[in-house]
Amino acid sequence: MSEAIKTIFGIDLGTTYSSIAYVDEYGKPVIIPNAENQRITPSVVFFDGSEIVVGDVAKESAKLYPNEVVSFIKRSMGEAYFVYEYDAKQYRPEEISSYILRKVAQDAEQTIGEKVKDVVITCPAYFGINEREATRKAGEIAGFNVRQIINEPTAAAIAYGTVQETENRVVLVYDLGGGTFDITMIDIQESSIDVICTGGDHNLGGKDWDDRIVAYLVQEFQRQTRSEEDILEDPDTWQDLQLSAEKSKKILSQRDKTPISITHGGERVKVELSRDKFLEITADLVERTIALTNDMLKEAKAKGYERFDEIILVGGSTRMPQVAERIQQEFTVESRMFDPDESVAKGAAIYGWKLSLNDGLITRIAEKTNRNPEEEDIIETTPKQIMDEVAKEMSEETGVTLSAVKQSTMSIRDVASKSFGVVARRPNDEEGVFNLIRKNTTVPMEIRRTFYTPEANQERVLIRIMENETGDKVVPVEHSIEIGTAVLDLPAGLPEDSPVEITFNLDREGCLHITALETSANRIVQANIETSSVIQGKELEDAIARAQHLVVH
Amino acid sequence: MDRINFYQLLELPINPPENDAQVITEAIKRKQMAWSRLRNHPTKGIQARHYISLLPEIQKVMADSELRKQEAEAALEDLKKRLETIFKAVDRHIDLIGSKGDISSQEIDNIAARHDIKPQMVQKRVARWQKRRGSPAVLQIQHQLINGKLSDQELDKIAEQNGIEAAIARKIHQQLLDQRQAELDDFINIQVRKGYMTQAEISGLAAVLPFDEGEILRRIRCPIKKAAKKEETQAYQMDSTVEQVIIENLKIVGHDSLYSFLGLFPGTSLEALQNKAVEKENEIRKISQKDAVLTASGVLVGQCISIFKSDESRYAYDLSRARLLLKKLNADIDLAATSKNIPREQYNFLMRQAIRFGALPEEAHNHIREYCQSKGLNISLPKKKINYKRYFLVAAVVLLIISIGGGSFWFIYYRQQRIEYEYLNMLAEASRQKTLEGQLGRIEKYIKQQQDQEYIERAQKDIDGLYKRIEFRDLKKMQKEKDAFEATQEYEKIATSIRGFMTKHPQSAHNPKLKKALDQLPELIDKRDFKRVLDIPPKNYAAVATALSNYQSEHPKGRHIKEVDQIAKRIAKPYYQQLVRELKTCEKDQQWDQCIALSAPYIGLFKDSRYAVRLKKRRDGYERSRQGQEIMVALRTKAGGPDAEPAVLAQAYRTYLAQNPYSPARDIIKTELGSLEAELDRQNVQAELKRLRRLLPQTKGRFREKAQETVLDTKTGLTWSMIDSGLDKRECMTFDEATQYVSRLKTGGHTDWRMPTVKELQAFYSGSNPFKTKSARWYWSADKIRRYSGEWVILVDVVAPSNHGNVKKRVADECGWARAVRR
Repeated sequence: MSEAIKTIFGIDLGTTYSSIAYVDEYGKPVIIPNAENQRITPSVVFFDGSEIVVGDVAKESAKLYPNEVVSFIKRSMGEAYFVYEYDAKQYRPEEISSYILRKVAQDAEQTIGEKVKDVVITCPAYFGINEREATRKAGEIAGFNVRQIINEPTAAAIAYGTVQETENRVVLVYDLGGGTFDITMIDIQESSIDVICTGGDHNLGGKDWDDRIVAYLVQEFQRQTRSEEDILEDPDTWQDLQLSAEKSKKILSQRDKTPISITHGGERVKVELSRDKFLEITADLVERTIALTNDMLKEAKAKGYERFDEIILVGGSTRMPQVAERIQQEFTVESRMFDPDESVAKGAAIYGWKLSLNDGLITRIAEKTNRNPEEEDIIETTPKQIMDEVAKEMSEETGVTLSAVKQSTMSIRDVASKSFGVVARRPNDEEGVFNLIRKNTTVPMEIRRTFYTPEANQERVLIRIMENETGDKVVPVEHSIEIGTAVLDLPAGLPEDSPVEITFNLDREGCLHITALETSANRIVQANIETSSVIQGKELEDAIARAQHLVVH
Repeated sequence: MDRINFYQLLELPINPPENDAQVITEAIKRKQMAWSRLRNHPTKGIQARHYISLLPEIQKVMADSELRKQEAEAALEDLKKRLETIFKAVDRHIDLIGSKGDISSQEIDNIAARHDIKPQMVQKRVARWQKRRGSPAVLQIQHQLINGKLSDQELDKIAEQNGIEAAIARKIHQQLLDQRQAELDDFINIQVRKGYMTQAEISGLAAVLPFDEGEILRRIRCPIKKAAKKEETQAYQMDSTVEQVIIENLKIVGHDSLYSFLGLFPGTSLEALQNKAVEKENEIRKISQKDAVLTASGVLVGQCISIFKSDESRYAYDLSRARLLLKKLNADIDLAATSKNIPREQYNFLMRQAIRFGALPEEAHNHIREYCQSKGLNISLPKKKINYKRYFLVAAVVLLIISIGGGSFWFIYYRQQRIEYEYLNMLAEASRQKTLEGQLGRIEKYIKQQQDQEYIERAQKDIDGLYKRIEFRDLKKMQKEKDAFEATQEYEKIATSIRGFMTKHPQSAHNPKLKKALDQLPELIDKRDFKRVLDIPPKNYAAVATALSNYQSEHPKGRHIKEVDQIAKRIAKPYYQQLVRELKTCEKDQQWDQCIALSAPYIGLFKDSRYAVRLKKRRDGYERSRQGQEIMVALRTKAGGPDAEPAVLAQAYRTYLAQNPYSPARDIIKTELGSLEAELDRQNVQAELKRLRRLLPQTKGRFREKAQETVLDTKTGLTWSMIDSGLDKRECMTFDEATQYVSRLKTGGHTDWRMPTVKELQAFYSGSNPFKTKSARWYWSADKIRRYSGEWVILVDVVAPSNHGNVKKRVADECGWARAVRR
C-alpha cells in the first residue's frame, strides 16, 4: 500500500472483550491478534503495583486479587460518581478504559509494525451523549487521534454490507454483547447504508446471564450446606463464581449440562447445571430483548418500514442457542450469525479506511479546483468529470482499486438514539422538556427554535440540555436526564417574552453542539456543555499525564 | 421519608449525631469506593448503583447543617420504630411459647437472644403477658378449644374444677370463640382478594379453628372453587434463583409481590396481568433516568412477562409467595422446639399464625411438618384430624356411583349440597354489588340458570324483598326532591320527579296519592307565574313584558289571562316611548346587540301591533348592521387585528367584496375601503417623493425641486409634476381621461399643466434619471393622428422611459399613464 493512505484502525471497545482491526493492502478487514495471540482481548484491568495488566492475565488474576481487578468498566462509562481507588489514587471509567485501548493498540503495533495513531472507536448505538463523550475521552487519554466514534450495529452492518454482494436489503442487527443490547434496523443499498431506527438497553448483556448462574450457584451452595451465608460477601468467591458462570454458560451453548464446583470457606460443593435449568432462570432476559425489538419495530413502522429481509446476529452472547430460537419463533424470519466477535471491529476498520481514502480524495480535489479542503460539501459540489479524474489518479498512485476509491464516498447515515431538548415552560406554566432533536431522526441534523424569556429585565437564561428516550415533542422533566447546562447572559432592560433562539446540532458521531442567540442584541453563546459525568479539566490532564508514563501489559 | 436514611446508610453514629465534616466526608468516600466496587456484583449490583446514584443528594444533605439535623432526627425516629417492631415480634413469641401454659427462664433467654435484646426486657414483657392471659380456667378452655367447641357439660365441669360459676365459664368460652371468629374473618378477608376460596382451605380452617365447615361457609362471601386445577399444577415449582432475583429486585422497588408491583390484585386475570406488564415496560423505557429502581423495575417487568404467560407459571409463583411467607414461621418453630417436641398447643398457635400471614392451611401444615422433620422435631397433632383430600374423595365417589348408574343417596346428597353452595355463593356475590339493582340483576341471572324449583322460589322471594326495598328507596328520594323543589316553587321539576317514580313503579300503592298531587300542580304554576308579573316594579317595562309573554304562552287559558292582557294594554305606549329613547343611545354607540336585545321583549309581547311592526323594521336594520359589523371585525382580525397593514386590510376588503357583492356589510366596507385606499395612495405618494428628494441631489443639478411636488429640468427649462398619474390615481387611464386629468391638475398651485410632446418626454427621460419608475410602463404624449383601419381610430404616440425613450403608437382607448408638464 502506498504511503499516501494513512491507516485508521477500528477498535471495538466491548464490555467483556475488545479487539482491533485494520484494512490490509488487499482491501480486506483483518483482526490483529494480541501479544497472547488471541483475536479478542478480555476488557479486564489488573492494577499490579505500578504496572497495569490488561486481558487474560488480568482476568485470571481476579480470583486471587479480586480488589485489584476491574471488569465491566464499560457499564460505568458516563457515570459521574463511579470511582475506583487503588493505591490512594482515584480512577474514572474513562481512564480505566484507556488502558484497554492502549493494550490492544500496543499489541497491534508490535504485530504489524505500524504506529497506531488514528482510530475509529465503536460504542453501542444506545449510548447517550455522556457515554459517547466518555468513550472519546478514553481514546484521547490513550494518546490516539480519535477520528470518529461510530455505533456498533452500524459498524457490523458496514462489515456485512461489504461481504454481502446481493442487492438492496433491510436488515435487523440484533447485537447482544457482554454488557449491552442494541437492536437496529438498517437499509443497505449499493451506495449507502442508512440506519432507520435503533433501540436497546445498555444494561442488558451476557453478564446478566452470568449473574443468574452465579445466583443459582449461591442457592445451591446454601441448599447443600444447609447454611444461609451469602458466599458472595467474600470477594474471592464472587470472582471465582463469576468466572465459573461465564465458562459454564459457554459450555451450555454446546452441551446439555455442565458440572460446576464451588469452593468457599473450606467447603466444596458440586453442582450440575442443565441447559433446561439455565433456560428457566434466564427466560425473562431473552424476553426483554424481544420486547425491545418489538418496540423498535413499532417505531420503524411509523417511519414507513413495515418489513425486513433478514436478521443478523452479532455480539458473543448471540451464540446462546436460545437467542436464535426465540427470535425465529417471534419473527419467523431466518436469523443468521455474522462473525459475532469480530464484525464490529472490522466494520470500524472499513469505516476508518473509507475516511482515509476520502481524506485523500478531498485533498486532491482541493488542489485541482483551488478550493479549501475544509469546505463541507466539497465532494457533492465537484463535477463528476473532475471526481472521476481524481479517483483515477488516486487509484493509480495508491494501488487501491478504482471501485474501492469510488466506494469510499458511499454515504453512511446514522440516526439519533435519543431525543434531545431543553427545559422550558409550557403554556400551563409547568416545566417540560421540549425536544428539538427527536429520537431516530437522521444525523447529522441541525434544528433551531425560538423560546421566550418569562420575565422582564431577566439577566441571564439558564439552558438545561436534556436527553430522553421518547420521540414525543414534550416530555416531563423527570423522565429526562440533564446532560449539561449553558448560560446566556442577556443585555439589560429586555422586556418579557424576548426571543432566544436555540440551535441544536447533532453531528455524525452523535455529539451535540449547542448555540444560543439572543436576537435583540445578536448575542451568541457557544454553549459548551458543562457536565460532571465525563472526565475533564484537571482530572483529564492528570489522567493524560499518568498515561504517558504507564506501561500496560 | 421514603428513601433510606443517610446516617444509617453511611453507618454514622446517631445518638449524638456525627457532625464532624471530615468524618462525614470520609464516610461518604469510603462508601463511594465500596459501592463502586459492588457496581457489577451479581446480586448486589443494582442496589450499589442505586446508592451511587444517591451520592449527589447524600453530599447535599450531609453538607447542610439544617438538612443534616433533620436527617439525624429522622434516623432516631426510625430507630424507635424498629424497636417497636421488635417488641411486637417478642410479644408474638411470648404468646407462642406461653401457649403451652408457662415460660421458663431458659425460654426467656432464648427469646432475648433471638431478638438481640436484654433478657430483662423480655422479662418485663412476660410479666405483661401473665397479666393479660387471665385465670387457669381461661387457659383450660383455651386448650380444649383446639379440639373444637366445648359442650355445656364440659364447661360445667371446668367451672366445677376451678370453683367458678358455670355462667362465667360460658362467658369465657364465648369470648374466646369471638376471638377465633375474628381471626377467621381476617383470613377470609385476605383470601377473597383473589376472588374465590377453595374447599381445601375451608377444611384446613375447620381443622385449626373451633368451627365446623358449615359455620365457616356461612361467613364466606365469595365463590367457592374445588381447586381441581390446583391439584394438577401442585407439582410445579418455581426455581429458587428466579425467586431470589424477584425478591431482591422487589426490595429495591419497595413492593412485596409482582402483583403489587404491577398495581393489580392477585386475583386479576392472566391477560390483564400480561397487558399491564407490557404497559409498564413501555412506561419504564420512556424514562431516561436509568437509576437502580428503574433497572430493578426492568428486571421485574421481564419476570412478569415470562411468569404471567401461563396459568402454570403463575401458579408456581403464587406457591412460591406462600412458601416465602411460611419461612417466617421457621424462626418461631426454632424457638418453640426447646425439647425436640412441638406441643399441640404450639402447633395450633403456629397454624393460626400462618393463617394470619395469609398462607393456605394445607401449605402451612406441610411446611411446618417438613421443617420439623428437617430439624428432627416431633409434632403433637391435635385430635381434630385434618383431611384435605376428603372433598376430592367425595367427588370421586360420587362420580363413581354416577358412572355405575346408581342415582343413589350420595348423588342426591352431593347435588343438594352443591345447589346450596351455589345459592349461598350467589347471595354472597349479590351482596357485594354496590347497588340494589346490581343485586337484583345477579339474582335474576341465577333464576334464569337455576332449574331446581325450590331454589327458584327462594330466589324469587329474595327478589320480591329487593323490589320492596327499591320502591321504598325511590319513594324517599322522590319525596326529598319534592320538598326541595316546593321550597323554590320549581313545580315542573316536581312533576318530572313524580312521573319518574310512577313510570318505574306502576303498581305502587302510593300512585293514587301521587296522581292527585300531580293534578294540583298546574294551578300552582299558574298562580306562581301571575305573581311573578305582579312582583315586578311596574315601571320596569321590559321585565314586566317578559313575564307577561311568559304567562301568555304558558297559560293561554290561564285563570289570570284577562288581567294579563289588560296590563299589557296599559304599558304598550309608555313602554314604546321609553324604548325609543333607549334605542337612540345604543344606535349612537353602534351597540347593535344591545339594540336587538332591547327591542325583543316588546316585539315578543305585542307581536303585530302598530308599534311592534315599526320596531321589527328597526330590528331588521340592527340585524344587518350587526352582521356588517361582525364581518368587518372578522376581516380585520384575519388581516392581522388592530395593527393590520393597510395594504393587507384593503386587499382583504376587496377580495371580500368581489366574493360577496350583496353583503350587508357592503356599504361600510366600501366606505372603509375608500378611506383606506386614499391613505395608501397618500403613503405611496409620500414614499415616492421621499425617494425622489433623496435622489435629486445626485443628478448634478439637472433636476431641482421647485414649488410643492414640481421639478424643474434645468436642461430643458420645463417644469414637471413629480408624481405621475399612475401613482396619483393608482390606475391607468385612456388618452381622453389622461388629457382631462392633466388639464385639471393643480399641483404646486399651477393650473397650466398640459400633456407633454414626444420630444419633451424623450428629453425628460434621457440620461440617468430618478423618474424612471415602475408605476408606469409608458406615457401618453400630446402627439396624435387619426387613421382608418376598418373604422376611424385615434393613434397616440407613447414613450416608454425604461426602453431608451422608444416611441410607439397606441390606440387612444388603451389604458396608459400621464405625466404633466408646463413651461
